[in-house]
Amino acid sequence: MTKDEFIDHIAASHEPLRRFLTGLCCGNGDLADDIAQDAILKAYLAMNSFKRQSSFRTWLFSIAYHCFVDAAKQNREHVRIEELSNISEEESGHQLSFLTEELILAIEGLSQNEKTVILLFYLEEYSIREIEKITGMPSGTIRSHLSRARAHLRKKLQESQQ
Amino acid sequence: MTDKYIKDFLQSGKVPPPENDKFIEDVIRQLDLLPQPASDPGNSQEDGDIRVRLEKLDAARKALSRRIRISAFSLGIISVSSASLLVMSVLMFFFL
Repeated sequence: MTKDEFIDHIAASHEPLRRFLTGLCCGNGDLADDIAQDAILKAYLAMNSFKRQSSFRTWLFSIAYHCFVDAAKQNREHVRIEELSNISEEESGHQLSFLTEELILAIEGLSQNEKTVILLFYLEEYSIREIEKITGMPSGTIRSHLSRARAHLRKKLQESQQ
Repeated sequence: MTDKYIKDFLQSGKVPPPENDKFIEDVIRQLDLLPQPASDPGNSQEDGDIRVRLEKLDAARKALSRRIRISAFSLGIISVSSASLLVMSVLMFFFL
């Protein structure tokens, strides 16, 4: 793959990637963009290892997901992500992008794994098989996270309707 | 509350990126600062040239061995024919 081809792929994939990361980062677009940029640079340096067994987008999502997991593992980033979930747009000074505040609030109580599978499955419309490739989780685990996330979301949406 | 409702809710939460989005420009700028990614082992230009040369050598070897086989086969046929003619000539000489 040439550099130009790589950039073409990125131009086509950056929007869903940043949207997914924004969801994982509780609406913090700046943090999501930092992780997305990190993932794209890693993907560029490793582009010769892309074997076309999955789509470029799935491969890129997988790298980005693992970058997010690494960032969340680091205490400093973890605190940042957790803190930001409790800060409103006005207080934090950053603009919400890619996702509405309503959606961010609905998924904020979900665990990291539940958030990941629900965003990939419903928002980005990936199949269970593709989510397996992105996250490395077995399909049974993905289904159980999805089921718990659905129940949690149903409860939350019903509460907000009342 | 159905699955479709959840999907529709999440889909309706998508917001387009801001108009002054400079993400791709920033990424391209950063990519320009990075070195060219290392190729897979065996995929460099030099390796490619060596591979082409080896393929040419292999083709020449095959062509040569085919020519030798054909020559050997022809020589075999000629030898057998000559031997048969000789035997027939000897037999004819004695019996006629």
